[in-house]
Order: sequence, then C-alpha cells, then structure tokens
Amino acid sequence: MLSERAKLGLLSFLLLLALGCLAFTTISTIQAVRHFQQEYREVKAGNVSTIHSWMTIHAVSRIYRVPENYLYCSLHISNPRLFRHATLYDIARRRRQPVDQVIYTVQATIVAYRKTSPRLLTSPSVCIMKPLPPTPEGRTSY
Amino acid sequence: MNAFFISALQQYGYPALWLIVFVAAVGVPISGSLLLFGAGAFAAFGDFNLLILFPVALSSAVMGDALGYFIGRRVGTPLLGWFERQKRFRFISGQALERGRAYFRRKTAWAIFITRFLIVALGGPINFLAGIERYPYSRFLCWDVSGQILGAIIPLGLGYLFAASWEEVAAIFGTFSGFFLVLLVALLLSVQLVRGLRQSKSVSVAKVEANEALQLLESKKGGDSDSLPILD
Repeated sequence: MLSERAKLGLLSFLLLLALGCLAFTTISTIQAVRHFQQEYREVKAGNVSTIHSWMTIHAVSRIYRVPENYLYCSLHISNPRLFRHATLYDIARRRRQPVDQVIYTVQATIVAYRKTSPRLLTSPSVCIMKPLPPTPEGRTSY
Repeated sequence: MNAFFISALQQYGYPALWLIVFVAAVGVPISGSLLLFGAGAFAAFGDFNLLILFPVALSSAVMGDALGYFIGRRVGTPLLGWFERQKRFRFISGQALERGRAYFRRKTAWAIFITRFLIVALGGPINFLAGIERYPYSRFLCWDVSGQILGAIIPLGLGYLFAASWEEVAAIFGTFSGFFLVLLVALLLSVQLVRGLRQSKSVSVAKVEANEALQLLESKKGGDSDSLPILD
C-alpha cells in the first residue's frame, strides 16, 4: 500500500511526535513531583491552605490537630455521628453551599483555634464558640 | 467526579470500593487506582482497615478483568471477524492486521502484567484484546493476579504513607504512567525505524550487486547482440 520511503517517512514523523510527547510527560512528571514536595511540606507545617474537599472532619482533625467537636461546632453540626463519614464536599452538598465556603469555615476555625487557648475545648454536647467572621466568596488561603 | 466517588467510598465503605474498582476494571473510564490511593489515605486516618482493603481491591479488580476478558471472547471475536470481512471500512490491510495480532499474541503476558499496575488506563482494552485473541484464561488469570497484587499494594501503600497528600502522589503516579507508555511507544518506533533503514539499505546494496553481476555477464558474452537489461 505504502512505498518503503513513505513508510520510513511516516515512522520518522511518528517517532518525532512520540519524542515530543516524551518531553511533555517528563516535564509533567517533574512538575507533579515538585508540587507534591511543596504540598507535603505545607501539610507538615500545618498550613490550612492544604485542606481539600475530600477530607472528612475526622481527617482534618487528625492532620491539623484540632478537636473534632470544635470543627463540628464551627459548622453548626449538632449530631456529629451523622457526619462521621461525610467529606467536606458532602457537607457542602447537604447544606447546599459551595464547597469553598465550607473549606473557608474550617480554615478559619483552625486558625481561630490556634490563636485561642486549647482550654476552650468543649464536651461533645456543649458548644462554646464565638461566631466566625462572615465568609467571603471563594476560597481564601492563609 | 472524583469527589463524588470519594464521598461514596466514605458513605458506603468497602462495598462501594468493590463496585467502583470492579466497574473500572471492566473498562469503564473511571480511575479505580485513584480511589485506591484515597482508600489507603482513609485507612491511615482510621476509617478503613488496610488488611481488609487489600483483598477487597484485589478480588474486585480480578473479577472485573475476567468480565472484560469474557466480553472480548464472546463479542469481540465475531466482531473482529466481521471487520476483517468488510472492505468498505478497511483502512488497515489484512496483512498488517495479522502482523499486529501476531505481535500482540507474543507480548500478551507482559501486556496483561504491566497494565495492571503501571499503565492502568490500558487495562480494559488489553482484557478485551486478550479475550478476542482467545488467550488461555488460566494464563490470563495468572498474569492478572500477579499484576493486580502490585496494582493494589502500590496505591493502597502510597495512599497510606502519604495520607494527607495522596492526591499529589496519585498525580505523580498518573504522569509517570503516561511517561512510561510514551517511552515504550518511542522505543518501539525507534526499533521499527532502524529495521526499516537497514532493510532499505540492504535492498539497495543487493540491487547494486545484481547490476554489477549483470554487467560482468554482459562483458563476458562480448559481442552477443541480445544484452541483458540493467536493473533500476
């Protein structure tokens, strides 16, 4: 169907294309590694900008060392058992809020907790917390 | 989409994981591997047990692969036969198709093994092709289980180790998978190109030699009126 010369030309073209893709994937892999290193460092440092929608309140509590009840109170969740396995995405969906708004609330709560004394911790049934400042539109990083 | 699956994983636990990984293994474009990274991370937070996650992930992936294989065997073989008989849609010659099939038959075991844990995106199509080629199921199962053991351990283990950053680790894994696939394609094309160049060189050398031999014969015949034609 194709002459030998045409076949070689086609192969050369495909090889060039593959080499271009190889360069692209190499750069993507390096960028992904750098992004991971940066994110990992920030998580270790406890930076609240690394909170994601896949996290549950339990996970946020474990990663950022904030009591679960404190986080549930900030989100006005009276029955934490029902939300034990709910991700932030899920909480936002149930409350019909943008997920960024829920993330912002959690971020603000963690920052507020770090500023105040841990003695303010409450029992599961009682919730003593100052109301959070109004949430701006979109996600804010600290 | 991923947020939805992660949410389902948290809400419904192991059955959700089994179902999603099974559907992904059959060939539906869902990232089952990404979900395993997430499940590993949640295990680190105490939501799942890693020792239960592993058999759940392995069994669902192997059963999904088996379904893909048998679909290929039942539906794919007659479909390929029909395609080979068609002349209207044919853009690949019968010989090229047969060469491709022979090449796949030689490399099926490796293709099955690598696509379980490294080039996961091609897992579904490879199951289907293995079924079409009627690759023995016992061997398919052997390579499938070997690959899937790694395919479950790697994401679950990495997710567990880098719990808070599992999404970033999964992204590295995804881009590396793409890199490895492109590298394989580039290597195959290089081999083909070198072979083609060698072949064309040997053909031209043979032509020159044939011409020289003809000229020698002609000169020996001397005054003969009918001279032999010279090859191009």
